[in-house]
Amino acid sequence: MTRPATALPAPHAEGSPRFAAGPSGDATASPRAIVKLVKVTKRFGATRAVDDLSLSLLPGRTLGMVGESGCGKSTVARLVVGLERPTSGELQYEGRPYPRSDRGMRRVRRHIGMVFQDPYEALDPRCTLRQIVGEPLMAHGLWRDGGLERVRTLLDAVGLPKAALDSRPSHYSGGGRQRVGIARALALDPALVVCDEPTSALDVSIQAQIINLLLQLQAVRGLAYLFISHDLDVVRRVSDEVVVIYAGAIMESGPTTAITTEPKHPYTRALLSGVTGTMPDQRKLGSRIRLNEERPVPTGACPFASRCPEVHRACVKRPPLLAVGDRLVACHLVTGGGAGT
Amino acid sequence: MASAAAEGTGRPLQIEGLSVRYGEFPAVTAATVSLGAGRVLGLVGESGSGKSSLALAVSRLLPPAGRVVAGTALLGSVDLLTLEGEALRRARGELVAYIPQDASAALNPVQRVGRQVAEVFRVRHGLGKEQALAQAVSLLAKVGIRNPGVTARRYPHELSGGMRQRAMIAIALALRPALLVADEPTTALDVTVQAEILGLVKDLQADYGTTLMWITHDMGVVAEIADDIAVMYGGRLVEHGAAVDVFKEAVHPYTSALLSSFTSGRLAAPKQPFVAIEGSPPVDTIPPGCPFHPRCPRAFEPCATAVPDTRTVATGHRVSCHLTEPA
Ligand SMILES: Nc1ncnc2c1ncn2[C@@H]1O[C@H](COP(=O)(O)OP(=O)(O)OP(=O)(O)O)[C@@H](O)[C@H]1O
Ligand code: SF4
Ligand code: SF4
Ligand SMILES: [Mg+2]
Repeated sequence: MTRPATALPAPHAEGSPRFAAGPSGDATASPRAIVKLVKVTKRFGATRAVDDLSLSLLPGRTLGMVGESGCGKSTVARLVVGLERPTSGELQYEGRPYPRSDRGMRRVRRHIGMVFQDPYEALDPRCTLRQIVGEPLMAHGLWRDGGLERVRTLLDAVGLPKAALDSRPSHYSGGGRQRVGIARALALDPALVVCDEPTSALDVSIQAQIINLLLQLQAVRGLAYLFISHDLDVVRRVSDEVVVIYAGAIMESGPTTAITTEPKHPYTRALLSGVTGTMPDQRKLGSRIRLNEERPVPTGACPFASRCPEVHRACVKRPPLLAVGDRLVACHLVTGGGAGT
Repeated sequence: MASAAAEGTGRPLQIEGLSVRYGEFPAVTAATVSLGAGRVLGLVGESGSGKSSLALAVSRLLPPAGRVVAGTALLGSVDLLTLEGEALRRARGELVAYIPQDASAALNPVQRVGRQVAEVFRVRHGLGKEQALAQAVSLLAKVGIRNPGVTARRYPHELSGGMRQRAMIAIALALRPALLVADEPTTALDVTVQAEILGLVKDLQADYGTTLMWITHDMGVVAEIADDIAVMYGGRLVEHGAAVDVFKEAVHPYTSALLSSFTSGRLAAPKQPFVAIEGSPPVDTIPPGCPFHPRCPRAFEPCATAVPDTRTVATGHRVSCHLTEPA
């Protein structure tokens, strides 16, 4: 894994030999994934929150995940950071399955940071920024080894004044708090940061600051991001690749520009048509694609069938997720029965 | 178009010199807004800029700590701010209805959702019980509630946030008020749902001729539904005019920064940084002089001390900024 030198010293240089070890079983040509999901399914009772999902999170790249509320995005986030275990399928860190033991999992989790949606709820109001950002270092026994200096450097890296050390979250508005959340997520110098709706609770002018900050941190530190949002327009701005999820399964995935300029799946097209216009004299929503009412879908059918404006007879059979050029699509119209792409 | 008052239910709104305080804190200062009957105003600003306080004052729903210390809000010929007792009770609903950002607090927790919508048809439009419920169910379907018949029999806590929000919107639409005030009611919703609800409210607004004030921090929403725009910062109205004019040629530095952040974000290639406004909005205290001066790239000598006057820069386009002063 090549990660550019950074101004931030790794807190514990020899901390990761076990997981940074050489190539594992699958030696593919593409850059090796930091985290990989292989056919992951997560059930809660009868609900399949995540359904046979495979994806790779690559060093220095952003995978944007978009879908409506309840589609399983947050469950994917929780699986990746090890807060949930899959019902079936496998998660891998640097080519090896996530360890079963809690201790083993703790070591993996060190390399995966997480930024939450609501910066007002995620930070303990009683603590100072020194405690909040330093907590992961303490928890991993890394505080004595220059912890305070590291917290200072982190606050600086996210654009907070060094004097902020002894202030509390209440001193900051949403944007400032989200900076604290990002500093904390970076405390252990992770290779991957999972961002679950990191800008949804912020004002628009502040969203721009936070997105720019995430882009800059990635450029400097070579971070991988899993960036989750219900807003395709926000996802588009930060992602190299986009994956569109419905009912826990991939509908379409591929390079950002391809997906957002030439969507192929009916659901992606509907999402894009819901993005507002930019000028009052060029309104867009009048021509939005209207989805049908959601109804239970018969087993074995396309999961999007009840909502899909283009549903047809073939859709009683679930379409496979197939490669079409540089992307993956699950829709009969695109991949099936000789219908053009 | 703006003067189609006689046709629809809407009435013109004229807010003049409105100031709202929480204790000593000036949440809204000397706000003047005018909106023609049946027109849609997009009221824009960052959190804490005073949008909701202005909206709550006009809707007569300020919390006990909030006080209107000056101003009038004429809806047609009625000053909403002076209504009391029975007149006030009747005004709520008939004259003005308010859709909050979070419906959970506004719905009655112990009454089935369908019943709450049906009550409006019964009380306000005099329908019989059965008919009112049928209307309620069909309106629930219109606001995109799946299985409206089933949902109507549910209690608010049995619905998801998005569903509660839609039920709340259904109640407000059923009231057919002269002025509808919507306080970021789609912010928490999915993009396809948000687009659906914007389209729906816009259609019904046009059908009934309702005057609509839509509060948002999203310029995309303004571009999509607003005839007029009013921009707030630090409790003051900094720019106000026809949406087309302001989008084409914003005059106030804050408005132009907001708009260039919005459009540059839309145009930016993936992973390219785009224009951001530096700094954050004021939290506890509002800066003296022009409230935007600590973040303003064009601030100059008078800005930190003198509050700029509001000037008309073109027909119906008003701006508060020292840059517009005659040389
Ligand atoms: N702990 C749990 N127990 C039972 N069901 C759950 C649990 N967590 C999630 N679910 C269900 O799994 C599905 C996916 O939920 P998830 O929170 O991952 O969606 P999401 O896309 O993140 O939604 P949102 O954007 O609203 O947060 C939903 O149907 C949800 O009700
Ligand atoms: S397979 Fe059928 S139902 Fe599914 S997305 Fe394609 S057209 Fe729509
Ligand atoms: S009055 Fe001064 S500080 Fe305020 S917006 Fe105008 S130039 Fe900027
Ligand atoms: Mg979620």
